[in-house]
Amino acid sequence: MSKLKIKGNASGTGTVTVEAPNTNTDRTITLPDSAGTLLMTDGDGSNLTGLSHTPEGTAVVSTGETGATKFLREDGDGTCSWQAAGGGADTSLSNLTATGAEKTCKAWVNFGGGDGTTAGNVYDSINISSVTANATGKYTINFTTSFGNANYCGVLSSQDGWNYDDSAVAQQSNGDTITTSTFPMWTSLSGSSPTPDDARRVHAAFFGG
Amino acid sequence: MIIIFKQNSGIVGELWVAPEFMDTLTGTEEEKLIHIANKDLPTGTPYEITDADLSDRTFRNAWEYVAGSNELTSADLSADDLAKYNMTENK
Repeated sequence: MSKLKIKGNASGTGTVTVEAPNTNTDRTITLPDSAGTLLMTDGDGSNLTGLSHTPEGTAVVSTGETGATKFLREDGDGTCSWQAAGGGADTSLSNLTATGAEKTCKAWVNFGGGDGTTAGNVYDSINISSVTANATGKYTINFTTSFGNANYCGVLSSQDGWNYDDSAVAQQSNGDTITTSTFPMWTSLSGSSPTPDDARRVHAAFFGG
Repeated sequence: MIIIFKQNSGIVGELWVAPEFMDTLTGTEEEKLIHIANKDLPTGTPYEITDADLSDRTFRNAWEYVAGSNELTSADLSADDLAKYNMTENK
């Protein structure tokens, strides 16, 4: 059987008291099987080793840095340091690189195609200066700022028009020429006959450089 | 107000301005529309600024452009405007 020894300190004058808590339950405190000093609530833990912690999703609080814009950076040498975020996160798109800009929508428009008893109208848009209606179901979308080349991507859809089951197809005719500043398009009847027909709404978004 | 313009097809064309773009321009409404006509219509296109009600779309392809007393002609954009719109040439 191992033994438990309580030893006083010949140099000290204080009295150390081992006190039971206010409980009606039997408790056992098992001492660590090693030599050393127990860490108390007022200790700094500076001599502790072998601790592990996974801070993912947990707030890491700095006691020596202030300001909400700082972030903790792994420095590549096994240590971390607090870094200034350079004025905080930039939530605008103005600093996109040329490559980054090509990944975003450069222009979009939602317009009424002049259908039935409703005049044509641009309801909302970005980077669109106007839409020209050239004939029934035939439109040209004009960009405010032109694309760098004519190989951009237009994504189109249209809302059914005034009559039942009419204009439902939005397309780009191979007889029309796409330019960097204009995108000609049709809305037409579905089915085998692609007759141009006005759509109640046309939606178009454009991606490219 | 909208812009109607003459097309080679004989069918009258309509130019519907994007309000978001109009808001970026300065001047009177007519001056803004003239600027947009210069930007988005081929140079030399006859056009008129009108407040005509074009909501009845019946026989749309039979609508013809007839020159009125207020007819204007689209002009070239300035070099500065071309650069601003990333355009290499006038339409």
